[in-house]
Amino acid sequence: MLVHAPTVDFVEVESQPARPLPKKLGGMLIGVLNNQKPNAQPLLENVVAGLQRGFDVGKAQWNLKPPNLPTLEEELRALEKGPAQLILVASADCGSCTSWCVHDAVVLEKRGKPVMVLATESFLKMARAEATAYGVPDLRIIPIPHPLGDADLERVKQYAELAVKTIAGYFP
Amino acid sequence: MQKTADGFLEVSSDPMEVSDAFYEAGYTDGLPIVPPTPARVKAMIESQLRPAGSVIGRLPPRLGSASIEAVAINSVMAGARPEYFPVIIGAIEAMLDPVFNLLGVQATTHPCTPLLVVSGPIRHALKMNGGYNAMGEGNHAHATIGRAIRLTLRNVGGAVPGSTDMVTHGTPARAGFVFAENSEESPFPSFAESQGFSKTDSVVSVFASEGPHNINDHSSNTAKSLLQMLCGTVATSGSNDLGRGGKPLIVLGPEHADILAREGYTRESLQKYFFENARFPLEMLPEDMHEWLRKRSDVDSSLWNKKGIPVANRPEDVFIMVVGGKGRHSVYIPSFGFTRPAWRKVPFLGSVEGKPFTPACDC
Repeated sequence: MLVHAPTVDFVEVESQPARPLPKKLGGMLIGVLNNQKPNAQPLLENVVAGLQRGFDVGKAQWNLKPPNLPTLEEELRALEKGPAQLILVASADCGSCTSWCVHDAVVLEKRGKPVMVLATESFLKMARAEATAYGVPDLRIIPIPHPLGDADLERVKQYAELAVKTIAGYFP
Repeated sequence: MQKTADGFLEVSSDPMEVSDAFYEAGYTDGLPIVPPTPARVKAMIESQLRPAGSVIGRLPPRLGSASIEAVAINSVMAGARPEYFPVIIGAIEAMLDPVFNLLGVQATTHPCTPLLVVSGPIRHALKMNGGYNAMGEGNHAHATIGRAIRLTLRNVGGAVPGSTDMVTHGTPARAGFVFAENSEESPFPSFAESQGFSKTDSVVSVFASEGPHNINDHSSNTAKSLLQMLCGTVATSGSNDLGRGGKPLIVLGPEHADILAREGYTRESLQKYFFENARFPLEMLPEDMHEWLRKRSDVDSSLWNKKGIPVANRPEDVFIMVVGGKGRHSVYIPSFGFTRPAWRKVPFLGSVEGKPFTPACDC
């Protein structure tokens, strides 16, 4: 007997590669998109501080987004038009917040900005599936341990150090 | 189970073996399915006027194309009858309204699921239930329409629990959460009318909702007492509605609705009352939560007052309808929070029991 298949082909969006990074991390201007999840702020502050200490990067801009909804257009435009050469988005550590971090990262990538999304290990699989669905399959996703939200400041600093090493690894 | 060159699946002629094969492939919710044969899918598609290939939209998280045919296949699997299909299509359209935040709903750790509320004459044509056990089992349309939505979200949206759907615990409501309004026993205009539809319109409304939480009040004989009970249940610290722009749905049992109406309350005055009084006291909120909410740019802490933190940002974000049979109960259905309900008119000519359903328009 013949029956219909109930699933569909998920790979239909026209894909594009992630935006090329500047050649050197040193001296680069960093932008931040903070989704205001618990510990997103200290994580991002410590990642930026680590990049400043190790690589003399500059902090160009700091923008906010709601955790479980899309970033407001004015915030996206500020990042798109602003001087930052690389945008860090965090924290992707729950279902809807990961989805909207990835979604908004892809929007910025498509508007010409290289982006890295800081996602906890438990949400990496979903983040990668969504990056593929939205059309930037090799979106740079920086893994950090899970859970993030209940970590004390010492642990957040350790996670930030791991993230800095991974980010630096993208610059040979 | 083998895929043929033209995309069909070659399966056993035994329906239980088909069910088992579909279950093993991850296509089902665990219950047996109706095999989506070409004839059954064709009948489903022909219950409305759009062609099979017409795409309603792309369903997150994996952005599968929700064509009429793809939704029909999943509706057949769910056991839905062709006459239910326009309601299913209307619900998918409503869920794709950006205000609904389907990406968030599909991916979140929160146990929300699309709740469908059906209003207007089509309720009777499809023998839906707005009375006793409206939210429970035993109604073919409720069970299979809700199941069709869930299977479509899984198979076309690509939301697979633990992988691309990160719901921490889930909820029994995910199996299908559908009921009809009991506008006949409502002292207020129907919910659909409150959103601008006419009495003769058939409407499906979708809410991103948790499962229902009962509000038992057998003792209140005044509106003041009943409202105190209702507000006390709705304003709870663990609800996503609290402080984050919630969209709580308060489903009044007809007896509770009568108590409120006889003292002159309208839907609008109740919405205002809930906005002002369904509040969680700040001093009882855990300090970490208090600090997190106060810092967030998307939380309007200017709405906080001595009564506490509201469950919605404005009166019209409290949604009220009348559903259920006799008995002194009402229901609070917490929302996902980061969402707005959406609705669509369902094409429907009239109720003719036993005759084929005829859609009114291609809308």
